Amino acid sequence: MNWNKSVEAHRFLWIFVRGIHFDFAIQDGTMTTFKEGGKWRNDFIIGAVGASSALREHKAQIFALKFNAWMLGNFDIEYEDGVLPAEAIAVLAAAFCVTDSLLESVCDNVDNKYNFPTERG
Amino acid sequence: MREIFLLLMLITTSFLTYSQEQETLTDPKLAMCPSGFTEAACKEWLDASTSYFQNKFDESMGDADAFKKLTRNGEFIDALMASPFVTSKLDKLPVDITLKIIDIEDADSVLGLEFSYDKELSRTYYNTSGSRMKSYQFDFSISGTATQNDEENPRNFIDASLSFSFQNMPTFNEAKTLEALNKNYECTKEANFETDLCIKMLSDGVQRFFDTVGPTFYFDYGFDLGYETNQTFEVSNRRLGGYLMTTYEDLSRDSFMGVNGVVPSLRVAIDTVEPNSETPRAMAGDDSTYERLSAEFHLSVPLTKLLDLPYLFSFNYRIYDELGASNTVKEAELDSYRLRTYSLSAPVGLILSYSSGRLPFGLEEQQTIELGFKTYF
Repeated sequence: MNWNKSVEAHRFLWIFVRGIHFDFAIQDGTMTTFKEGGKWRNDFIIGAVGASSALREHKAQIFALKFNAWMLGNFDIEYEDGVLPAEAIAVLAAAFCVTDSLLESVCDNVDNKYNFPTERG
Repeated sequence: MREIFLLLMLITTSFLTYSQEQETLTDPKLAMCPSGFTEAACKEWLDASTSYFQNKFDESMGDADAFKKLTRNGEFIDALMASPFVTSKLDKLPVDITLKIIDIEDADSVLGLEFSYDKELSRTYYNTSGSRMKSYQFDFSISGTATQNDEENPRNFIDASLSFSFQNMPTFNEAKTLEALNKNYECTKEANFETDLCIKMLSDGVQRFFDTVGPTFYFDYGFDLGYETNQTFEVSNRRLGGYLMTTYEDLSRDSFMGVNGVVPSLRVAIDTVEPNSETPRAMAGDDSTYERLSAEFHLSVPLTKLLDLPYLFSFNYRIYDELGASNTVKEAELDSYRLRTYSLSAPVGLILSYSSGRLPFGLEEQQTIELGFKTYF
């Protein structure tokens, strides 16, 4: 599914990234929109610009752990049926460390591995 | 338009052939030839086909350098790679591929193809309680840069590895769960999440969530079996070694590093390296197995608070040093390699990157400048 603010998982992904990089999200008093945020580069988001692939994987793992902890620790978000925490984090990390990938490429991984309140009605 | 279509067909055919190849390839170029061709016949066929195509393209454009100019046109390459047709083909490949224009000091710019593939084979968590999470995993990865002519490639280094590693990272269990944030679930709804009030509340919540964790280290250490080679696969090293990787971050934002979001990372490894007879070291007269110390230091520095600039400054420094190198190797200046990369980037892409030095298999120090072209690069 394309980057879509109607999808709760996609919104949560952007809310977290926007919060982590708030100083970059707001420029000259103007906030980056959800649509624009989808074009942010993942190597920038995880702090691995110019790093080797080994270090990029390491940084992606860190970012995925933080995102996972923030979602589960603050909201009524669960893992999808049959999804283990290790799997969810690993899938997110793998998505974040793809060379030259954009944030919007991660959104479906979030939607597929996590169950959000609106999905439970 | 016809010429662009022919170029698309050539690239697409190449990718389709490679992605459908079932046999193990001793030379990746073999994937582009019809089945049944010998390696020699394949190379001859490829050279002839490429020359024929380039000549026809130049003739039709009325410019002897038309094809060369086309492959160095960043905007065209960007548009081509972002086109739905090419994107749909690339998405089917298990390997991530990106084209880049790489400027080389005292030389023409070259079109580089960066690729990478990472696969976590398995992961097991054996301790997730308390403040630290411990796990171990097996994974495979390969990455590198290739150019049309391997002699032009300033980063002629492909690295593949199979790793067994342990991780020791914070669980964030002690991170503050904010009841207030739960009550602001309404702010995450589509109608609200981009309002000024909700943006502030949600963003403050993200940052405050990790405050109680404070300064923390992330550890990753283990063993890996690796294979290093250049893009022609003629020069190679096999290696077996151990590594330690760590990142430090002050999540409390109490210190200088925490307030400014400065995050350092370090990777140190020691390997036993077995070079083949085509490596520069072997060609210089020493093909013995040797021990090598390698390290990578990475620093990520947001300039938003420090300098009020909307950029991220990154510094990456890699070293590869042979331990106890013979005089033969030292005199040939093949015992030590350094690569420094300075990058300035924005959330949507690279602004500027400057690299100085060389990686293993490189014979000369090179300086390269990489310019960002839109978002795809």
